[in-house]
Formats: sequence, structure tokens, C-alpha cells
Amino acid sequence: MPTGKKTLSVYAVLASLLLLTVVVCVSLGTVSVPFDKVISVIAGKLLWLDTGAGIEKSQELIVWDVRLPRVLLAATIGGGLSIVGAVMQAMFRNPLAEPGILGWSSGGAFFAVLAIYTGIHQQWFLLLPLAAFAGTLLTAYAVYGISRYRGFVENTTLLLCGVALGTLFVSLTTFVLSVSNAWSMKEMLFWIMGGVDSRTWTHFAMAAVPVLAASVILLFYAKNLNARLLGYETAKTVGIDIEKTTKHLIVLSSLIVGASVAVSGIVGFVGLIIPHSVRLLIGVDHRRLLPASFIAGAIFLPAADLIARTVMSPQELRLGVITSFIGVPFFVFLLRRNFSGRGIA
Amino acid sequence: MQKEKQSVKVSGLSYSVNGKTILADASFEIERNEFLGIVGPNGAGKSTLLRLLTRILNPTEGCILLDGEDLSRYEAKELYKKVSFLPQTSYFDFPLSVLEVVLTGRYPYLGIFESESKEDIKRAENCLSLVDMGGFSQRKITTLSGGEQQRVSLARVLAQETDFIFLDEPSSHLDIHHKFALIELLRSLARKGKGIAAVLHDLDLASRFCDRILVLEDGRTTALGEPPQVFSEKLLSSVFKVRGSWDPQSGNLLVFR
Repeated sequence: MPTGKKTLSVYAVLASLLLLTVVVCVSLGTVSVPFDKVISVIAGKLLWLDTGAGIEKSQELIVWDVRLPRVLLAATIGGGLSIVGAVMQAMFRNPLAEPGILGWSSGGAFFAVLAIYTGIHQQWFLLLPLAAFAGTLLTAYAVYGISRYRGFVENTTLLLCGVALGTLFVSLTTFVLSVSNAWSMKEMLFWIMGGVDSRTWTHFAMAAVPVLAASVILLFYAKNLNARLLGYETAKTVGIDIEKTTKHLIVLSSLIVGASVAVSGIVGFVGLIIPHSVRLLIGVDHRRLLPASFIAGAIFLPAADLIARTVMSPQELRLGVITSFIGVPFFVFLLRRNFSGRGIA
Repeated sequence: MQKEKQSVKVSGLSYSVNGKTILADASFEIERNEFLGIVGPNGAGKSTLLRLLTRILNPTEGCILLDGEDLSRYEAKELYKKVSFLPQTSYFDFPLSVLEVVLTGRYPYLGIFESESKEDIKRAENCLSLVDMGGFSQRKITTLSGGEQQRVSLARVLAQETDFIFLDEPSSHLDIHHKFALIELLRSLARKGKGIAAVLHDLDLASRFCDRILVLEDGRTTALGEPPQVFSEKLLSSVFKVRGSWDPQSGNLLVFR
């Protein structure tokens, strides 16, 4: 579909909202920094300008070293998880598919915790995200393999299997953490209820490179995903190699989920809330849906994180708690909408 | 020889799954400008035959030649510029617009990052008019009735502009008017040089509009030929468990219990 005027204006609004969100989220917090100072600090750092006049050292520290990496990381992860949600829903033709619900994130978190527990993450800094990627990929394949039958993926099996494996991996994560030396409630909550607290530029870089790269490659599968919505036989007979491209899609999606989980634990439901909302705005065609979902997710998650760290300030809530609070009612709504008259009661 | 190159040639085609034979030793040809009706009782292997013809399934034995080349040797995009398929069931769970659905028929012609041209959209709109769905292009596919969705699927198949069109029960959801319109459309496409094969349950319709009939029973080819030869009283009673005769006045097949 050619890009219409409406599509362009939606992109323009989303892009402006994204910039606004970043500035607002960096500005607000336990100690607030005025908007103009936020912009000065960021512009100063980016453009090597001397805008130091009137800015306290502590404000610069808060903006540049504490909040900006946190906000940008939340934006990256939000965008990545949203694009993956949209991809999974089309790939499995299942509106309830999402990395959290199908257990992918839990598998990634378990492997990440395992890497930390065994100490192998100290060998090389990329072994932590790689472990999370491996765990995600393994879970994704297990769920897909179990629910697939002669080219068709059975929807109920897919969801139940994902939920079951997800629960298993959360249990295993809890188990490993409770026998490890590093055991603390805080550590466990970080992995299971996710968050971007005390994240640095290193964490941001570690997530941003794979998330952005895989997201861009996923855009090339937009027409493939459109065709998949019409079912296996139609997709196949308009020239889509389902078997081969399903592998590509699972690997790329796992890369995004693994990279996210490695630095922020399990943040659920983003991949459900965002793509469905964006479909209402911009339609189903993935050439528009995928990029728009990424931007919308990049707005949503920093905003959710802002709520997490401000509503009970100075105490911080877990980010995963906030996304579940918004996500579960959404999930229930989708569940009801997809009832299609099987069974009586 | 020239004729052989210009057709679908099926020889010794068999398909079995877990040791159970679904289709056995089918051999026939489909010419361009021919409308072949595939009939038979439930579970006779009709849908399997179409899935083999469209390479959704791969044969256990035998082969299918498309214009002299084995089906398995085609690049997917090249194959589906020549062969299109209307499945028995189409899935419309996501609210794509009608136009977006029809435009998927243009996908074999598009590069990986290429979008549909104005010309593609015009063709899609034309195909929608052919199935009496002109003016529906911006409607959400999820809001249409079963029969309307089936006609949109047919428009998608037509937009693919293939030489061979295979259809699995294309008229199952259609009202009587659109059923006739569909079958006349298929016949006229065959007259314009397309090769068409459709699984049909309506023997009366098949006998009146198809050039040739292939009868399948338990995976085996029971008969193949022009309708008057194929639909004998004997075959109708043995395969379909119905009585039937040709009305001498109208020349139509009459089927009854």
C-alpha cells in the first residue's frame, strides 16, 4: 500500500510524542530538572557545546548519567518488544501471542540468571545477552515445535504451552537465584518483574545494537507477514516460503527479546498492548504497523517507567508491575473479543 | 510436442501419509483453455490433489510437469506467477481492508521491499468488479459475510494473473446467483486461455459448465472425460449413491435420490 496522508500524519505525531516523552521522562523524577536544562545538557553533550552556564553539576549527572540512559533503554526495549509482538501475532495468526505470554522472555531470563550464577558472564560482557538470546530461542522453538502440526500451529496449544513453559522458567529462575550466593529479593524481583533502574550507557548499548539491527531487518518481512494473516495455503501460494521464513522470524525476534531481557528482566504485555492499539490507528498492513509499533512502544515504556519511579516516590515500583496492570485488562478484552462460539455454558 | 509443453501434465501421482494412501496413481492433463471439474464423494482425495497441483504438498510418487518442467524445480515466485489457488477455507481474523487482501495476489510480482504500484491497485480493483465486489475495496474484510469473503478471495486469485487456477469448492458459501456468476466467470476465463481445475460438489453445475470431469473415489481415478460420457447412470449410482439421467429436452443432467 502506498503511504497515505493519514499514515504520514500518524508517523509525525508519533515521532513528536517520542521526543517529548524522552525530554519529559528525563526531566521528571524524585529530583526534577527543568525542561530547558534537560535540553541544554543533552544538546551540550551531543554537539560538544559549552552550555554549562546555569547548570549544576548534579543536574548534569542526573540528566546524562542517570536518567537519559535509563529512558533511552526503556524506549529501545519498548520498541523492540512491540515490534516482536506484532510479528508474533502475524506469524502465528494469533492475536494473543506476545513474548511474555508465550514464555520467550522467561526462557531468556532463566538463561541470563544461569549465566550469572555460573559466572560465565564475567568471561566476556556479551555472554550475558548471548545466554539470554539462547534461552529465548530455545523456548521459542520448543513452544513452536510442540504446537505445530503439519504446517499449522494450533492456537490454544500455542498459548497454553507458552504459559506452561514460561511458568517453568520462572520457577527455575527463582530456584537458581535462591541457591546462589547473590540471593536477594531485589535481584529476583529484577528478573521476574523487570525494570530499567540503575541502568547505564553500557546496558543501553548492549540492548540497542541488536534490537535496532533486528528490527530493521524485520521490516523486510512486512509483506510476508501480511500474507501469513490469510492462512498457510494462501501465503504459500502467493510465493511465501513459510518454513524457511518462520525460522528467520523466530531468530530475529528472539534476538530482540534476548537482548531486552538480558538488561531489563521480564517486562510483559508490551507486545500485546502496543501492536493492537497501533492497528486501530493505522491498520493491519505490516509495512506501516511494524515501524509505527516500534515508535509507539518506544513512547509507552519510558512513560510506564516514569509512573513506576514517581507514583510511590521515593520508592520505585517494578516496571513489570506497571505493564501487567495495563496489560492484563487488555488481555482479557482481547480474549473476550476472540471468543468464537465454541462450547456452551 | 508443442501441446505437451503448454499444459499441466500429471503422471502416476500418489500421495500417502502414515502408510495410508490418500491419492493413488492419478494421471491426466489440464490444458490452457480448459475447465476441468474434479468431483467425488467426501474423502476421495480431491483437496489433496489440488494441494499437490499447487505444491502445498509434495507427492509421494509420480510427478507433475508444468509447461514441461517438474513442479518441484520451480522457484516459488516463478511458480505462483503461473499457478494460483483458492483454498477451501480462507482465514480472516485480522481486519485487513478488502483491497489489501486482493493485493496479496500481486506479491509474486513484487521484490522484497517493493510496494504495489498504481497499476497493481487498478488491477486489484478490476478483479473486485469481476466478482461483483466493486466498491468494497476499503471495507474491512472481517465485516463481510462468508460469501462476500469468498468472492474477495477469488478476486485475490484473479489478481495473481496466473495461467492455471485451482479452486477448492469455490462456490460453497455463495448464493445461487453468485454461484452461477462464478461458474460462468470460470468458464469464460477458460475460453480466454486459462487452465482451470475446480473441486465441485454440485454435479448438475459441473456437468453443464465443465469441459471435462475427473471423478475420484477413495483416491483412485474412476472416470475422466466429457460430462455426458462420465455421468452415466451406472457411475452416478455406484460412486455418488444417487440416481440420475440426462434430460433429452434441455440436455441437462438431472440428479435425484
